Amino acid sequence: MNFFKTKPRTPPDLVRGLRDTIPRLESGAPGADTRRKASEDVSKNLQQIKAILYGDGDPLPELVAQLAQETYNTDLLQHLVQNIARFEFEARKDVVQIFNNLLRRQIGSRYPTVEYLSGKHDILFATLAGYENEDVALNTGMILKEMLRHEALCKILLYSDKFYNFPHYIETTTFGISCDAFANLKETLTRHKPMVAEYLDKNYDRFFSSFTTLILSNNYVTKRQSLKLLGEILLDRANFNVMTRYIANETNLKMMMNLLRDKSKNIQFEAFHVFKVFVANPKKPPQIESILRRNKDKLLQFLKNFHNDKDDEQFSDEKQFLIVQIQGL
Amino acid sequence: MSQPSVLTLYKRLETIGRGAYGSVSKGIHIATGNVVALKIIDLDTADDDVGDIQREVALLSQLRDAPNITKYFGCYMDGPRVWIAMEYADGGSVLSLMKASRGGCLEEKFMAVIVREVLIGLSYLHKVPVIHRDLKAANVLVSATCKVMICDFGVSALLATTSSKRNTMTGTLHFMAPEVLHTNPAYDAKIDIWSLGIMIYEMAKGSPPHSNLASAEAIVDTISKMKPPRLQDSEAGKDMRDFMAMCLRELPSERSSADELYKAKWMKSNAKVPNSILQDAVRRLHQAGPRASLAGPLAWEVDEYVV
Repeated sequence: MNFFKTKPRTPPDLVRGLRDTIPRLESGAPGADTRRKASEDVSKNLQQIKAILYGDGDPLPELVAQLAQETYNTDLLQHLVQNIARFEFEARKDVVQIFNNLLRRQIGSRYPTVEYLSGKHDILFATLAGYENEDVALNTGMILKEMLRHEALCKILLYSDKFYNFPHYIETTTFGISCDAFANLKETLTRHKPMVAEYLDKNYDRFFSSFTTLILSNNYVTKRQSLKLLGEILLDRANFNVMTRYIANETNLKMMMNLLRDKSKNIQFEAFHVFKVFVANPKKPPQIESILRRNKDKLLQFLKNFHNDKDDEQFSDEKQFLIVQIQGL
Repeated sequence: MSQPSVLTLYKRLETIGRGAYGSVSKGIHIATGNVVALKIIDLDTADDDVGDIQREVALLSQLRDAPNITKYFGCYMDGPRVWIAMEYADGGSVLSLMKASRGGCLEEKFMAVIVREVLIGLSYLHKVPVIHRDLKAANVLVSATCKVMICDFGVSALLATTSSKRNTMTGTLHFMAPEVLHTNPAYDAKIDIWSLGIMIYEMAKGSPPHSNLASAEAIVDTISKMKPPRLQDSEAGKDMRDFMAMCLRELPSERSSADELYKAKWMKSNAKVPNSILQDAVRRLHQAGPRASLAGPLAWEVDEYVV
């Protein structure tokens, strides 16, 4: 029997304790003891909350329910995301685990945390804004990814102006963060297809003028990934209307023809998979057909020598199909 | 505003290693003058997967505070290439220390310190949890100040996923735990413990078990069917043999964890031995002469300078 063993704190105690400690991270001079102490307390509380949620693989549902309810009551998740950069390195990882555990929490077919967040757009936007701080971007990126699995949250982001911050984050950060931001952009655009198709149809011009900046990026990885994503978006059945509009536009066709001649083989190859849609279109608009016809000889010559070393039957078939189509113009 | 060019941050010096994935060079962080290792991977190849490298980099960022793991400084694009800046170990790999030693293997006193330090790193990794997946003497570095560091995260896992890099895969197969070789592998951090056991065998004997087998199929077949390897009484002290046996149990659940191994007798009796004991092994390496220099421009640099 240990008389000095303190009684374990209840979930509401922990959550309120944590929320009240966070403002103390800013009290006193930088480097002062009060700050250090607050920082240690934050880390400790986070560890205890994590322990309740994961509970050695066998968490107690009742404690988890109390804990979750208290995080909603205190807006803890908002405080966590907004202040994550002030936390210790390991504590930031705990924030991700706590947040994502709560996001996955299910009661029947309901996701209580998702419902909560649906009414708190600022938390979603603060998570996205994590890309502005290199030190926490990968932590917040992981939370954002978990949020985007849920259509309701994904839709809030897609329909907000903040969605158009993605290109900025992708273009101005270092490799690892840029890739993470791109992966989440892709997640936003491909996970909930019918919802996204409706959005793209309604917001066609704004979306593609923004997305084109990524395709024309000077960053090799951004250029290649966005070109690949464009191909996936256009070839998805859900986006039929969007595709039809895209392949009726001569500027788009010219851009792809230029990318076919990019110095990178991979970019040429991705461009091919968009270019083929223009050519395969059985109802080519006159302006598209005219460009293809004007360049007929050059295109045929070009395609005959295009990636002949590739050992890919489907690609060879598609290339052959394009050659026949262009010859027939 | 886009990122500044990596060329304004780091200066590349001589190449210290080359592989199918690209190269590793010595480099200087221009702002501080610190020496770093620069892993340069060309992404504009037919079979790379940007996603693999992204996962690798994300993982390294999460391991910032990990002990006895090569530090990661950052990752930058340079045209179609990505530069990963890492801590530079100016000693050499444990494998190179072995090769510079008599008989191609290390003395037990060195092995104990190396294994002790590797366990500290593994203990942290396994709590994250991260599985290294490619632990072997070539992936453990010893610096000139005798710091022991585990290196090559995931880039090795990355290699194993890509068909064109099968040679590297064969070299590593010897270290694979039986459960990794199953048709539907399901494994956990205990595969690193198995590999640690094989690494001990490797340090004691000069090469991993079954190194006479050339084909991947033969190695897979042998590891799956044979009893776990053991050392003879004459080949190592009892504590070390017991320790290796604790690593090399067929069932992962019966294998000790990194924390348990740290408390094993062999480790306890060597707990107070300072890292500096490794100085003798590092010195041998330097006496054996510098490794063949790979100075000179890389293929892509030649291309770019000509153009």
